[in-house]
Amino acid sequence: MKTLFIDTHFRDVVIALLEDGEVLKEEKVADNRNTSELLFPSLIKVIDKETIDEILVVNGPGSFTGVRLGVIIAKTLAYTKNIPIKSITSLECMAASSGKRKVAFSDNNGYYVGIFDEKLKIKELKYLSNAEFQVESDYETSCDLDYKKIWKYCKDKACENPHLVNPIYIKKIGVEKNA
Amino acid sequence: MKDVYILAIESSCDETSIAIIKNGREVVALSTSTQMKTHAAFGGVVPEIASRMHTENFTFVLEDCLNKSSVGMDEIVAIAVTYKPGLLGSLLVGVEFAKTLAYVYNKPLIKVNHLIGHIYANALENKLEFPLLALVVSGGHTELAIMEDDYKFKTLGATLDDAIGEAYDKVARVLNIPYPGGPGIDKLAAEGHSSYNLPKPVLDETYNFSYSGLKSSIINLVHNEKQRGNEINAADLACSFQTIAIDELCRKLEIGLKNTGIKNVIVAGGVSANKYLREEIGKTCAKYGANLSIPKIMYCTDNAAMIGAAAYPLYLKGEFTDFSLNAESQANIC
Repeated sequence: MKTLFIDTHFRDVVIALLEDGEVLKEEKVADNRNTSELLFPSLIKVIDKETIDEILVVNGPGSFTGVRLGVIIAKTLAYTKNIPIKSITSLECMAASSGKRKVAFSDNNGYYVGIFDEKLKIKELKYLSNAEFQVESDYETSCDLDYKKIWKYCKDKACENPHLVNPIYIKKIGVEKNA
Repeated sequence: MKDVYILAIESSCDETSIAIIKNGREVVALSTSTQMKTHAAFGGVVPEIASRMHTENFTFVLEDCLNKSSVGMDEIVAIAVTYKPGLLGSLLVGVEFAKTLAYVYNKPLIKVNHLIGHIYANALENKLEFPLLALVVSGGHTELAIMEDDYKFKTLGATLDDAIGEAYDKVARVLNIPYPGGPGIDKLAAEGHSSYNLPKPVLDETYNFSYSGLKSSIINLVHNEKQRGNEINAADLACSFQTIAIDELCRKLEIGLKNTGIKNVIVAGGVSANKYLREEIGKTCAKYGANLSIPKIMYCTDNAAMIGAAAYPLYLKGEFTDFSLNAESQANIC
């Protein structure tokens, strides 16, 4: 069972091929590099000549443009090649990897926050300003991705219709705030 | 020669569009999802929302286009995509979508300049006859160029400040005409008379255009009249604006026809859907015995069919691009 994992939600973009959760191949596009130029060539290095059984894509929250690039590639691959696809949020990845029920990461202006139940199912995802976040600060704010744990976490998830796999943004944009 | 079918993708602004084009001339299938109503609520295109909707819509539009098409992916020889100019976030979604299709179906990838796409919208009507004078009129560009052959451009002049479409949008806004303002002004102007005394652009003999002075004078006029409690005759003001804006295009085109002796003219870009423009440019061309080509209204606005038409000469020349293709927000014809 080979899983293609695509995570473009933040600074370090990751594409990995997993076999039953173990890493077979991994490509990273480091922060400050041009993601749109490097993303697809990196993907090809990982998937060329491979048969993919399942796609796992991180659909945000995080960098709006970053998430979109990962999601449009993932859903188009799934749709055209008829590969089962599942989405997972960036905050679920942190919870699954760390085992912590309160996780958060900063985008400089504030924090994306995830709160989970004892089985690490999502209770709430939200965006807090820096000031709001400091009031409640017992969070896991940085952890390395643990592919095996993420893969196990997703085993219970149902496959999705590729047309309907879309980013989640959480943070409001200007026109939404004014509405 | 074997027929060439190209699948083309366009997402530079607020239309998600995919087309299959035969031999650069014939539209086999075209599917477009427009976001116009969504953006109208905000009075203009919101770039972030445009990017979101492209991401949501692309696979649906592909499915619809292939359902309409008599040819399948196996007969497609290349994937073409708009990579500049436009809203960067929107272009990027289209570019990565196109790369994915090119990879999955093992087809070469062709990058297309959106402005050149507008020019080649004319190839969907008539075979382009060279040399020709190309007048590009859109929300971001106002440019007059000589085209000596496929992809051989020589710019004569361009706008020094605002594009004509931009001036239309701004004037529409002060007249409370809902987005998109261009068609609204065109319609309103037809009911009015050119009665307002507005400043004409400098009457020089260059090929350059200027629309910011005209735009500002109207914004100031509306503002001043409001302060004095006077009513604006919107139809007359729309007509006065449109007459000057379009007459200036005709005047520069006329200089071009006179100086170059070229007998073929094409008009391209979103503003070419304007009725008054179509009539007046027609008169100018008739005066010089020049053949005029303007795309059908449906191909004047953004669409993937024109991208497929513009990709065809590149396909014949073997000008393909690789998977590191990036999008660019700014670009001119050449």
